[in-house]
This record gives sequence, C-alpha cells and structure tokens, in this order.
Amino acid sequence: MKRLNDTRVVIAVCVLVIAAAAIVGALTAPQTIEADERDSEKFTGTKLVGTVPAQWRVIWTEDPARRATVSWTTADMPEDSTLYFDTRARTGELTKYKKKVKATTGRYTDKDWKLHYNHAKLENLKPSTTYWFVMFSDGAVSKEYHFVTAPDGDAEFKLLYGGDSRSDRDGRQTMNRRMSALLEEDPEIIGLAHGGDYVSDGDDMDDWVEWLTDHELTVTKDGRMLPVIPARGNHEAKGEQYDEIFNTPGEKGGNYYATTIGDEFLLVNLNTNISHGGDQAKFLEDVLRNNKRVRWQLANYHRPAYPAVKKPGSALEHWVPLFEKYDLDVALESDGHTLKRTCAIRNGKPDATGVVYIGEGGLGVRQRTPDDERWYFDGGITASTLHVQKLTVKKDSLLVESIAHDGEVRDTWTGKPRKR
Amino acid sequence: MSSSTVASARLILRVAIALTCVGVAGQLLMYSGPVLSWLWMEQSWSEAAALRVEHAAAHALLACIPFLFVRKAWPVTKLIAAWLLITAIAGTLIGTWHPWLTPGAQAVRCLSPLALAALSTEKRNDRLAEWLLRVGIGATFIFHGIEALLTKAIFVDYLIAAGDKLLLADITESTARSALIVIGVVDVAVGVAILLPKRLRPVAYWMAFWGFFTAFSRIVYMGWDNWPELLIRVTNGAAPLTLAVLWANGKRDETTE
Repeated sequence: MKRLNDTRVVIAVCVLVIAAAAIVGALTAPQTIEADERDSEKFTGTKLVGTVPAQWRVIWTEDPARRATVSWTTADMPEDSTLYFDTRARTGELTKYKKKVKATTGRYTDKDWKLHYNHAKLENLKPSTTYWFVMFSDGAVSKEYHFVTAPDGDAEFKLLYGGDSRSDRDGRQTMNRRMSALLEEDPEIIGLAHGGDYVSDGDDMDDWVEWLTDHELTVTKDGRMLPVIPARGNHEAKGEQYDEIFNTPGEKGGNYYATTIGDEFLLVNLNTNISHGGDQAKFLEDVLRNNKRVRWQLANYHRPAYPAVKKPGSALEHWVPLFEKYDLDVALESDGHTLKRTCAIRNGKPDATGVVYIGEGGLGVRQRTPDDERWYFDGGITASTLHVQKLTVKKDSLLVESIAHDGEVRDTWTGKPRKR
Repeated sequence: MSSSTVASARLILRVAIALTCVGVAGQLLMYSGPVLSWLWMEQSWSEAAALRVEHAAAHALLACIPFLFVRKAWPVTKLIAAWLLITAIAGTLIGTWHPWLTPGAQAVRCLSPLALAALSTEKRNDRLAEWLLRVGIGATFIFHGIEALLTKAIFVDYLIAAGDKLLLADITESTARSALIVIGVVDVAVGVAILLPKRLRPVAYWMAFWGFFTAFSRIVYMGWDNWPELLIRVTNGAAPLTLAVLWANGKRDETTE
C-alpha cells in the first residue's frame, strides 16, 4: 500500500511539474505580429475552354536580351499552336505580324486535370525592344500582349524579386496587382525573379492552375507582361509540373542557371532542393570565377543561409564561402514567410565588405513573426508583411527597395560597386 | 536478463532520451518545428497559438528529464513518445520530399521511451522492451536506407562535407551518390537483420556505431550550432547499444528460453 502511495505521489509531482512547465512555456512564447489587413477582390482569370489560350506567362532564363519563352495553357490539346509576334503593335491581326514561331505542346502531368502547355521559344531577339504578340491555338486567338526584352551593354534597369506565393490566394492576388501597378508606374522594370514556392504542392495541378490563373493579374492594363526568372522552391519538390510550366529552366533535374542582363549584371539562380555541394557548387564557382569583372553579382535561391525564422539551410555550408570568396553583392532568399535584410556578413560576422541577404518570401503566403534577435539583423531589418523587392540597377549603385502590399516602401538598401 | 544488465540498459536509454528531449526542445525554442508549420499553415491556427503549443511542449519535455531517472515516474516516457510521434506525423503532413518515409525514419526515437517504460514498470517486461527497440531500430535503418537509395540531397552533401572536413578529400557528387547506394543497401540489410528472431550482437554494435556516427555528421556538416540535430538523433546509436548490452547477458537467457 505504501509503495502504491509512493507511486501516486511521484506521478502527481510529475504531472504538476510538467503541466507547470508547459504553462510557463505557453505564456512565455514570443509575441507575434498580427498580419496586415488588406482589401481583396476575387479574380477567376481566363476560362480554360477548348484551345482558348489562358494562363500566359513570359519566361526568361540565361539571355533575356535575346531569348524568351512565351507560354500558355489550353484545356484541349491543340494541333497547331503558334505565337505571332512583331516589334510593332498589330492589334491582333495575324497576317500583319512579321514573325511567327510554332509552340511545343504537351499535357501537364496530372491524373485529374487534362490541361496542356504551349511553349513558344523566341530566339535572336533584339535587346531593349518591345515585342507584341498573340497566342494562337487551333483558331483560338488571344488578345495582343507585349513584353520588353532585357537591355544589352552597360545598361541601367529595374527588376522585381519575390518568393513564396503558395498558400494565401488573396495575398497572392494582392501582390500580383501590386506588381502590375509597379510595372504601370515604372516601365523601367523588366521582369520578376521568383525565389520559389509558387504553390503548396508542386505535384498538384489544382495548385498550379490557381497560381497560373492569378499570374494573369501581373499583366498591365495595356497588356504588358512581366517576364519571370524562376527558381525552384521546396514545395515544387521534384515535381514534373515545374518544368512543364516554366519550360525546364536550366537542365532537367538541376534547374540551376545564370541569367546575365547586359554586360554588368549577373543573377545566379540556384536550386536548394538538390545537392548544394556537388555539381551545383562547381557550377556556382565557375560562374562567379568567369564573371569576376561583372559589376553586380547576385544569387537567387529558395532556402536561406541566414534565415529570419527557421534554421540555416545548406547554402550556408556550400555557397556562402563562394559568395564571400568572389564578393557577391546580394543573395536573394525566400522560404521564411517574412521580410528581412541582414547586415553585410563575412566569415559569420558583421563585416562591411561582406554579402547582404535580402528577401524571405512575401508574394502570397501567411507571414510569420521574424526572430529579430538574431545577430545578423543588427544593422538589418525584419518585418512581417507581404512584400516584393524592387532592384534599381545603375552604374554607380544598386538600390533594393522592399515594397509592402499597400505600396509602402518598408526598407531601402544601397550597394556600391565593389573592386573585385 | 540479469538486473545489472537491465539497469545498464535503462541508464543508456535514460541518458539518450534525456538528450533527445534537450535536442527537440532546443529546436522548438530556437527555430520552431513541424507541428507549428502544420497547425499554422495547414490548419489555419494563429501563429501565436501554434507557437504556444510548441513552446509548451519544449518546456514540458525539459521538465520530463529529471523524472526519466525516477523509475516510478515511468509514465513520463509515454508523454515524450507521444510528442515525438506527433512531430513525426506533422513532419509527414507538411513534408515535400517522400514524406511517407518520415515516421519510419524517426521510429527509434518514438519507441525508445516506450522501451524504457517497459523496463521500468513494476512488472518489468524485458521481451516487450527488446522488441520495441528492435522494431524502432529496424524501421529507422530501413527507412534511412531507402532515403539513401533515393539519394536524398542532404545525404549527398553530408558525404561531400565529411570528405572535405574529415578526409581532406574532394568527393564528387557522382562518387557520393554511388557511396549512398552502398550505404543504403547496408542500412536496409542491417535493418532487416535486427528484426530476425536470432540475436545478432555484431549487427547491433555496427548499428550503434553507425547511428552515433551519422548523428554526429550533423555537427561535422554545419558545426556546433547544429547541436539540436545531433541530440535529436542520439537514440539512433543509443538504442542499438542498449540492445547489444541487453544481449550481452541475455545470450544465456536465450538458450534457456
């Protein structure tokens, strides 16, 4: 009986102590920031019927001054999909367009959806030139849209950056409208580098259909499209759909590549879903070594080396030493669902000669409360708001502005050219 | 099994589970874990509520540690096992790379506390403890083996970093991938072997060595800042070591069974 009582006492003490600890833990959990309120109006996009072109996008990879892919989705498989294009507006009259290119077509990988991709690859384009086009699929013709190719030479331009548009559909539509508004008011913006996690489940066409539909909102009222420079996020995993939607950026299975804009801007787009330290690290080092003289050097990848919320990704082990060795200017990171800019970092310490890490993903995902106590935010910033970064690339400066969903500029950072 | 053997086994498990609790709590308090992600992103909880759940769990796990060393307080092991199981399930629900592998790969850390409970109750059940450990270890090695055979990206990077830091050798990605196939086959083979009725002590010793070595690879990879990842995986080596200890004196028992 005494033994039984002893056991009961021990268990009672045990329950009391553990319950008290749990209550203390719950009460001392860090304060969180309430999400911003925003207005949203529903958008359903172009209906997927027959071969009517819908879900259009322009994709850039290595050489956006001379090459681009215009892609669209059709419900049915077209026998003839063609892009008609010209350097002058032709108001959609097919016979007036000077050039046309056949699109490659195929069915998106999915058990339920029977949808088809159409990719028209444009080559030998002229830099800094507006291309007007219509998408044609078996007699169904889109209205006329246009995009502007990237500049050549030592040019000044603007580029948007953002990531994580995966699970807050209202937020994603809000941010797409914001990007469209930015493009309207600032025609020097040429494209959007996306840091990955477009959707929650990269194997699920339901998610992609919603993302592609919402992407139509990035088009301006006069029909200008915002080309996308894609990077793969962890939620795209190894899904086939990413390659089918973006026409396999980089090599299949790798999806890493370097985008050069003009002579003085390099953006290395990396894939944090595959080995960081193997072939990809060699590629990164080769690119950075071969472009030492390029004035502005940036990297774009999903999982951060210096995160605002989670633990560091493998980029810290394999890529950061290369960034520092070759004096990268800015690493654009996503994944954390928050807004961040670190101080300049070298050898794991604040150092004015180091690399600045900007981003963390706010194109349409619930925002988290960042851990602003981390040492690398001393001299940097954190916030919890949907956002997009606008990069203004000039000869004597690189300005990065973090713009919230309401258009407010929440942070600015200016870099100066390095001596490499 | 003799009382001294069981006492040694209990001590190994207690220390290992205590370290696991520290590792899990450290991860939750420093970075947050999969339960928060699941509650917040998938179940639309507020971030504050999800964070409270994880911080409550972290403090509760730390509070469990002293009781692990009090035999009569064995029910705490079930609390620990329950949280570890919830974490594994949440990891599966939010995972993006073959998430179905997660519960199997984490089986040993969930089942080790239950094995300790079986060795700690008034009516000790050595056989149940042994089989809980065997199933946990077997599943963890088999599922890690499958991950290796699927050439999980982070495993490739562990090998490349280990070659660089421990062997001062430049291991290429293709070499690392080939090595992973061998590692995967060995892991699956020993995972199956530990589930055979015959008690194979050399296999248990190998699994203990490999379990500790691979847990420590997290430190080799990202430095001591990565300590929660090491501690969370201590049972990967400690559980097979416990089996080896139980079997050291259990051989005589086996022949008399």
